[in-house]
Amino acid sequence: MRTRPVSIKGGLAVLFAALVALSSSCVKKDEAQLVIYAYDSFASEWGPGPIVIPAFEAATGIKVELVVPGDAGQVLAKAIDEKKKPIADVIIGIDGNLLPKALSAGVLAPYAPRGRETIPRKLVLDDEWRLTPYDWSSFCIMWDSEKLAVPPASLEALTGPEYAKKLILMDPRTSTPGLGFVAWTAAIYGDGLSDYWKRLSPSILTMSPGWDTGYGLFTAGEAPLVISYTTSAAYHAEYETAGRYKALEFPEGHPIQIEGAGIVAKARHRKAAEAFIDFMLTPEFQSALPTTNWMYPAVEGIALPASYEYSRIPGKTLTANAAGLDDAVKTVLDALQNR
Amino acid sequence: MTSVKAPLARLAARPGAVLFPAFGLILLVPLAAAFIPIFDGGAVGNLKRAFSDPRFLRSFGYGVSQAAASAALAAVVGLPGAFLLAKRRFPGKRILSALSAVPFCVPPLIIAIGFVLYYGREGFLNRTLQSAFGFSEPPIRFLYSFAGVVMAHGFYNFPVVMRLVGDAWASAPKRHEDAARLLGASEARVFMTVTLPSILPALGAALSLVFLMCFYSFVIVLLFGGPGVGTPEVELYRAARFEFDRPLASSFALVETLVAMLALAAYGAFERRTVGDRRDAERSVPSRFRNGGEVFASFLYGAFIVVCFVGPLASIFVESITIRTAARSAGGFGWGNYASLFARKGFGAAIVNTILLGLSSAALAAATGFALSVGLKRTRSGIVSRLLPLLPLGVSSVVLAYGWNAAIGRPSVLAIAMVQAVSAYPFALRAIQSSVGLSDERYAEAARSLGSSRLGATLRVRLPMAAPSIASGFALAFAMSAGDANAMIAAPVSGFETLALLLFRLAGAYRLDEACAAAVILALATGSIFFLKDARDGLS
Amino acid sequence: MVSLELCALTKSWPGATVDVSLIAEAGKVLAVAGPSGCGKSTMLRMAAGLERPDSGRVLVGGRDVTDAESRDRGIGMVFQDYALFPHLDVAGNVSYGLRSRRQDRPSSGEIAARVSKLLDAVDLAGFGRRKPHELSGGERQRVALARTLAVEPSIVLFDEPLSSLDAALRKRLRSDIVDEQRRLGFTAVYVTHDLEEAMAIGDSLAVMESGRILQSASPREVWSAPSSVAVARFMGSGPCLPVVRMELAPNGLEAITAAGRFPLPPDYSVDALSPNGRYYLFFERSAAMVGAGNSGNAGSFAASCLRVDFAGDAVDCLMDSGGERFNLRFPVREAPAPGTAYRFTVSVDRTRILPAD
Repeated sequence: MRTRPVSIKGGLAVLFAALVALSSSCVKKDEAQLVIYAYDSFASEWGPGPIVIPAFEAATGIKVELVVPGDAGQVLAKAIDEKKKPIADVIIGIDGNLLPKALSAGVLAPYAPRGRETIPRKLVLDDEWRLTPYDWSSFCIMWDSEKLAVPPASLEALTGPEYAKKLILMDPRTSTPGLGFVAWTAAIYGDGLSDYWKRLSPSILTMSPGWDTGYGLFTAGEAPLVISYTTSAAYHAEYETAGRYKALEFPEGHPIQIEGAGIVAKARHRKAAEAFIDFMLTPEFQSALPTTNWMYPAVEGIALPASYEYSRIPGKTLTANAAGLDDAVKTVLDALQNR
Repeated sequence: MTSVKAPLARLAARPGAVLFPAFGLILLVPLAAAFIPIFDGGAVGNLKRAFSDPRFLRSFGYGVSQAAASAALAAVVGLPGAFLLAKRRFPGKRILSALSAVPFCVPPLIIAIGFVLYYGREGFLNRTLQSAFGFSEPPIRFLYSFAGVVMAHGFYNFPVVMRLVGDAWASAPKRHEDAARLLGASEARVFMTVTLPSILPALGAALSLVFLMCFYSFVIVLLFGGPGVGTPEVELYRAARFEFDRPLASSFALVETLVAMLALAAYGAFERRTVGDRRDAERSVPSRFRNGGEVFASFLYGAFIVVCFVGPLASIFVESITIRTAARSAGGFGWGNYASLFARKGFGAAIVNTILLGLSSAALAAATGFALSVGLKRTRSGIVSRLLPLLPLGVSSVVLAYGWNAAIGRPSVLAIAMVQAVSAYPFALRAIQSSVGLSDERYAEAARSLGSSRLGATLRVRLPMAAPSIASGFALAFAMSAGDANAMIAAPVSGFETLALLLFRLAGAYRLDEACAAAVILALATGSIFFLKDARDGLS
Repeated sequence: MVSLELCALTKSWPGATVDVSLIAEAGKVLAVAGPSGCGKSTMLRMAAGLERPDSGRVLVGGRDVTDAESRDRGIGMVFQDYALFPHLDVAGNVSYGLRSRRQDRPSSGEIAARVSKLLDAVDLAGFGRRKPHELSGGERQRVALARTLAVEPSIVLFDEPLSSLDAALRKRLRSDIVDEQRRLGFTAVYVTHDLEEAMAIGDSLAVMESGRILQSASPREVWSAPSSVAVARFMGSGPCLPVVRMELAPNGLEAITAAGRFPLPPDYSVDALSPNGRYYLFFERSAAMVGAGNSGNAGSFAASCLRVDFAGDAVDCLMDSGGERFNLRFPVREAPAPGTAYRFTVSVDRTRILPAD
């Protein structure tokens, strides 16, 4: 019994020590000269963040605070929340589908960066340069050639009975590629969208909450077809054996996802933000993207690694209508839920 | 000195006066902050908008029905386990009992991965059956359907039923059953008319708890539910992240929380009756198996649990020691995934952070748990004092974390610790309230009659007497905090990573093997905490 | 009316064994007394079929029921704290056994009639809708009794039913039980740790200790002629003085204690006693008289009175005789004075020799 009070005191000491340690870790001095919001995979140790941020700091002497609110949707959501009193100077990861919302919320300020002429015209999403594109890739269906002998030849062919439960998609409510696939089908089928999804439904094994989970199921062999990017084939070629997983090219054409960054309206560190946007178009930044973000650099003439030979750029590129996307998602969900 | 001490002592003597508001603060502030956008443009209009969305109502139908079916399955699977835990002695009982750690400490993402690895079309079961019987198509195909969701939820949560009902069963007075036997009742009638009524409150409490946990489920529903289904949580996510319609999201959150509160009220009502019943209980000693039939039935049950429930968990372990070749096929076993996980920069920091965060959350949870269980003894009635302790069960930690973020403007580790503490606290409270020193006021009264002050009686009598159960509550909260990544995913703090978050990121970064290794480490750590706690409680 | 026989019924655990042989006569009350934890409840549970014995037999009216189910034995039981079903009302409790019948189950009308009759019999008419927690201790006991008697068992076991009640209430409820038993004539086994209760209620009394029955006889016989030192100590009915040696006197054997000499009744012979055995001399606590008396046919011993406790119609005196301390009871007027030495006599026919355990 004598040991009890000691253990209680010990417990209390541990409690306070932990609380103090925690609260001290929260109090951080505001010494950053540039605050950037980026999505999680950009900032992760496998993403471009750990390469390009130190490079920028070394080149300019500007100290960066990289904040990760979550995925790209959360980056924009946080910026919109803080619109009146912005904390971020630059937000990274706004794609074509998110851009209309960012523009209508008015969180982005225009800035025409140095080197903008090196970006192909088709990648420029906003003529006022409120968003500067930095990389892109084409959506496509990836095919596991070991598990499925004959791949579908088109979006339409995906609805065939031979592909029952063979396709993994992502939920358009929770994932960017999921939304991208809806945009793709909306661009092809227009008014026939609901009908197409009703026909497609038996082929879908599952719609996973995120790309990572869905692609994980695909590589685990759960289904031989998955929505992803053409550059996924390059990834497999780089780290694994090339050839098993192939990107399928469909005659209907492929939409592209373009990712961009922009300066926040009323940014506190406007000059530093401009320097960062400029830096994003330099070869130093751009050449880091293919093997970290697994996307094509936006700037032309950047050398690609050998593995990118397995990622063919589709012959026909589609432009999806981002504005009507919310309605398209609702149409698709209604079609799936009212089977 | 006394003049300085007096008001302080008075304050400490009325813990309710300080603690209820304090506790309310760490719960209600983020909750309010999360709901405030609903007034943006008129609360009524926003609620109308929410209800006019057919997908939202459909998602409710789906969410409620899958949660109810899952709870029912959990009950069916959990009841035999409850019986075994309460009434029988057998080798491996501690392991069965330690399974109750799973629903609290193993993140749903890991359960989902485990189910895919095990029940999936390319999973262990299908591969085994296909190679054994030469099926061309995988024979087990329930996974990606309503049945898959219910199976995953039911198996994931059956230990909750097993534990809660088992506790009640163990303390159900044996004499009542004997009396019924002597009055001529058959064993079946004894069970239906005497045993069942005495464990019914606990069963009801367990069912409502499982219902709540499944109602808020996210990953498992989306992954297995079939294309396009969704729970209210999914619609909320869509409104907040993809439509940037905060008022609509808040309306969804409010309605969702209200539904959860209904289940919570049911839980509270059942739980109170369980507590009331337990007072005049006489624990019966678990006996050995009575006959060969029992041994056989228990063996079947054990085999069922191993095949259906332990299987998916074991698959995660197998995956963690599987070395993949470049062509993505299994290239043999080894500890390579662990080696690369340990070698990862930031792994050490993640361990330290997990422990730090766990200690803080657990300390907060245990401290509020203790203080409130003392305070709740004093305050006789009042809906607030009855419902407040349970409130966290009905609020998703995602909403809380988001609310803190909105309230203080920037992500904070302390806020996450508070969110986790609030989430773990109802369970800590439950553990602490079972302590003799707290349930029997006579000890504190004896101390006061010997000249101790109110505060002194609490510090020198209640606290030491409750120390073992506080330790249990602390361990439980620590394990829950260590396994939780939701709060940090909802409100990430840059540069602060824990093991659970690392696991999530590894799974997300397409490093499934390492994620499985991290999951095994996490499960071992939290599971062993439960194991120790059980050993202390003398459950085995 | 049937008897209940327990024949060498044994059950053992590590560190404890119950091994009983006992007969409860038909239509009589057998009281079993013993300290807490002596195995009384286990014995009852084995008799009722709630616990499986390791060996031995249970006979009900001569019929072997050892392997029969509890419900087929015709045995009822009233439990400690009554074990009324908390979720059923009084009528539900009382009718439980009737509803559990597998054959010729009465109709619900008949059941209602039987229940109200039973409740009438225990003075609880109109209590049918009450829940157990709304009843007083006495009412609960009567409900428990009515519930047990509803199925008309031929034998009723009582497992310390009154142990949690206060003294006055116990006395009243005890006589309720006896009245009911006399009225219906069932065979009863009544287990208690309270000796007074056991003596009052039992037609016969069994003393149990450490899992064994030490003596079973009428309460009067157990009181005045305990069969062993252990029984005498448990009953507290008189002193046990160590015998220093036996002497053969002209009139028969005499037992010599540290401060006394006691001629033994003629039925004690030299042959019956073992030469090396240790013995105790026992007499009832009220058998000792002050004064020398005729030492020829009465035992005598010297003792000093240490303390006198007033016990209403008598006084209890703590005595010291050659270093042995014990209690004696005297009529109030014959009480010795504290601190004084006396000589006492004990009539020959009230002395007993008990072998050491």
